[in-house]
Amino acid sequence: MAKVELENVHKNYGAKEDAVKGATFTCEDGEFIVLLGPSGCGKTTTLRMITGLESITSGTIRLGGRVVNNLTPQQRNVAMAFETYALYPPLTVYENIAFPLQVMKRSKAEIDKRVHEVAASLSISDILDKYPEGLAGGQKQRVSLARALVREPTVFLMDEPLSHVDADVRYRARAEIKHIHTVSHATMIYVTHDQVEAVALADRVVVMDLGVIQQIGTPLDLYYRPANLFVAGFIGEPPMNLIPCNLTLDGGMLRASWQSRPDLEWRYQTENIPETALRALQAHHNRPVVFGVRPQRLALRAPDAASSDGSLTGKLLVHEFLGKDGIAQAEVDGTVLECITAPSIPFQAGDLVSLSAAFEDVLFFDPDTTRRIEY
Amino acid sequence: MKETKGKLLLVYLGMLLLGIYILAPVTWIVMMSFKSKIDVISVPPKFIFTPTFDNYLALFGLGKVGLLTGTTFLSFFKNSLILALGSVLLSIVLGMPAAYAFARLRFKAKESLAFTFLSFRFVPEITIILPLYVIYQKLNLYNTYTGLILVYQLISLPFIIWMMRSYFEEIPVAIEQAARTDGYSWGRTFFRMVLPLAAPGVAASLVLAFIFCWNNFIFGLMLGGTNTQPVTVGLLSFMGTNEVQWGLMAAATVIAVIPLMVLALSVQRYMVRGLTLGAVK
Amino acid sequence: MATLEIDRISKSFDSVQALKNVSFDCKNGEFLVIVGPSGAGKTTTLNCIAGVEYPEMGTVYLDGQDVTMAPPQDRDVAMVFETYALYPQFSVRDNLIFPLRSPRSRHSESDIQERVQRVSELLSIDMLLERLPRQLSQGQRQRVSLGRALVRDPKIFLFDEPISHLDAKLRNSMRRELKRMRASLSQTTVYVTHDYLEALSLGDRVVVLFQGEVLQFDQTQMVYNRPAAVEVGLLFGDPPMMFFQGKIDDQSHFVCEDESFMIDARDNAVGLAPGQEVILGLRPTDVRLAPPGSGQVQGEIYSVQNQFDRELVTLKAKEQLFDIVAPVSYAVTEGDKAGIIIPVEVCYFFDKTTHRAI
Repeated sequence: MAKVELENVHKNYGAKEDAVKGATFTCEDGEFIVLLGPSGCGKTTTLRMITGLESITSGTIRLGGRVVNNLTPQQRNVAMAFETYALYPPLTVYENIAFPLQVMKRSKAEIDKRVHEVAASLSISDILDKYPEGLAGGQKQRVSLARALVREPTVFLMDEPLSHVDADVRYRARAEIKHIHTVSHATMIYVTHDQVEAVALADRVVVMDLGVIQQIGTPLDLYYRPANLFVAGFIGEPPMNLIPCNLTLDGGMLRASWQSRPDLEWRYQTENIPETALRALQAHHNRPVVFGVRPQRLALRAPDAASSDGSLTGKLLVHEFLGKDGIAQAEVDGTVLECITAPSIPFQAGDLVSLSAAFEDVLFFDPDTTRRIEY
Repeated sequence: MKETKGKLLLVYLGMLLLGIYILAPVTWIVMMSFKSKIDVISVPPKFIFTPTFDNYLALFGLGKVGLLTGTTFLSFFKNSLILALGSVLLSIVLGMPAAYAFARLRFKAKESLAFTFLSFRFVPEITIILPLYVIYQKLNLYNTYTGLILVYQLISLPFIIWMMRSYFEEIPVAIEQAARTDGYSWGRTFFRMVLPLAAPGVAASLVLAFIFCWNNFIFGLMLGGTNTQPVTVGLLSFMGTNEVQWGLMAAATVIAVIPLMVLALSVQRYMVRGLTLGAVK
Repeated sequence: MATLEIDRISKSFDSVQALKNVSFDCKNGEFLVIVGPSGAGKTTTLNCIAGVEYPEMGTVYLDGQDVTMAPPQDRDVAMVFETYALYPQFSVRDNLIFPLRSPRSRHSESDIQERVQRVSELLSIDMLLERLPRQLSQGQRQRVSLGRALVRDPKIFLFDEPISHLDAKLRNSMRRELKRMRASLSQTTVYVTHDYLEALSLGDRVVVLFQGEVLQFDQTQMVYNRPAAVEVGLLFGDPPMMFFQGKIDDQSHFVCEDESFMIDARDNAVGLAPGQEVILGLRPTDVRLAPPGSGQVQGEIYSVQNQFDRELVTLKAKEQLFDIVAPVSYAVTEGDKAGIIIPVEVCYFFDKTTHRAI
């Protein structure tokens, strides 16, 4: 397996706008990278350029240090996973796995050795004599993967391989892929539009939108430290609560007052705020910011008489019972805020509730650049 | 860009060849219809000649070239119109409800029945023509419009049932159910919702059925007499024992083809499918 | 506004029995959800209420009247279809008007215009009124189809998987919007879905259908907290409930069939008899990951999937796979040894043959 490097890769289909605008990222040897984004964001085009199915307009792609810009998919020696496994029904599992090596005219002994090695690493040694027809879905997937791994491809590429798997077994199929990645140490690049799938599988996620890479990071990076407003809104379910505010920092108090109603404000005593955060936010004193808090981090409480740090009073609209937890929707000045709660809550629709967020759970974004204010 | 230009050139060349292949016979017939008796049979064929309307005038009983039979060509033309229109009309009245039933209802032996209708199209007409001739003589249907329209159902009815069935099936059943729950009876739903959505299909199948009926030869020849024979049979009358009137035949062919051309061109745009897709997919 | 009662309806298609003695009722103003996997008979049930299909046996009462065989246009129901079923040749406005101009409804022209205005504002489609359905996005089509039902005041609303065609993100936000809308509407509603989150969120009561039979008809929270059958447990939860076959021994312990683990069920043994063969149901959200050596199950971590602030850990013990939802702070990686703590109060026991809850 090999390292995959993309350097300022562009793709233009003849339109004014590039479909992929300067994609730059590195997938280390043995790493699992997921390209995530809404439809039309350029993720599939990027994958196809790595495969060699799509030419690149400009930039450089390296596989294992070698520039492959003008090589065919065969010359790049990449492996593509198929949704349907594409096993040959008249051949046994052994023959299926051996097939690519026979095509490469390897010796019998070498083929036998490689097949058994790969089969052992994917725990399918015991089914080598069986035919694909009788195998379970997970086994077929391993055989299909073994057939790809046996020829030692540089990288393993997958384009939404689980989109036709039933929702109720998809989590197990993901577990299988994740497990296979761990035991095979393969370099994998995986494309999906489903954030749940992306964070479940990836070592690092490349979030794309409108042909531009928005953020490259671990699942926890995306969740806790989204680079900009797009990632903040796209990652997480329900999406982050984002409120346009004006920031002021004086008199020992940090205030984010709502642009729609300045008397509503999230207040924090500066003595409880780390020095680095204060310094970064000081630059935005008296300027508009977007205040963001995840529904998981917004606490729903009985309304306090004295307003404490980072809380507002709203009216509870509805509460959804969702089994293991619940989602409350509360209204503050016409804006609906969502928060994750216990399965049931001691409030009725129409009740006044307090919505509070601790300072460490709050993110601030610069509305001009849409980037998160880092500290 | 060079590559695409080269490709385009090849495509145009291919289209040109195909065009010549298709249009050459048509051009030939049209040219013939404007040639005089002598020009028609001249060898090698003349490409430059003085055009004459004699053939066309003769067809309508004017001009100096005489017809071989007593009837005028116009009556054949009229027969064709009556037969084709009558057949299609009868087929639509019988076939549309049948097609809807095949598309929407669940009943026993549905597919067998549908296949039986289709099988009418498999049997070569020639195999049944003799017994039919005898039956028609007995029932006094020989040489009547009614008789011919009835036997033309073998051509148009299966065609209309199968075409319209697939058009009805393309309309999502949920749209009908929506209209029903919106307060419309079955009849209103059919005429306000189903039929307008199927209209392009209906028009297309009607025209194609009309063309098939118009082009039929054998039924008219065997079961029709001079009063009811269509244009296709009528053309035979230009072939005498000692002379074939090529010019007249060509002119008659041109006129016989014109209605088909007009129809085909007029429904061309209705052949475009996919009108219903946007709302449901 | 109306009540609905379904009394033992049955129906079959080509020797496949789609519905078997299905009975339930819906009170005035109630929001009833019918949930089940595909092929369970949900849509057939809804179609029998709408009148676009007829049951072979049984009775449908709408407002106390037997409407079993009445044609749909006489029932005054409004239906939202899975495929939206917008009228493709009509603009959005005409789609909304169509039900108001039916021969059965009497609305003045000004009333029609006012209703269209009100509903299109409610659903934020007022900017789209002149468009044709094919010019709309999925989400917009779905809104128009909702709007076509909401412009009327039918006796009952029927929803057939109205948001299941939307992608996960849009579906979740539409569900929350429906929930908000629901608070301001009070019509009797029957809502069909295969998504347990929609059922839990929206339903006052829930009917669980499986292979044409009602498995459970209960208050929403009860269906989640007290599943009446294996299939109900399987349907409600993500990841779904895990099931293990086993036996109750003389000390009221549950012993898994491959003897990979046992659970002391003395505190939760109501209805369990020694020697009884049972199926144990466990929710991945109810069991806890523990250091190796502690807990009832010992195994090796098979895979770890991040779920933002949680992790879905799959643990392999002998040949059994266990799923555990753990806080992200519980850092484990593939290959680690670990145990699972199974509190007895989260064990669901089902009869092995009938699959019914004990």
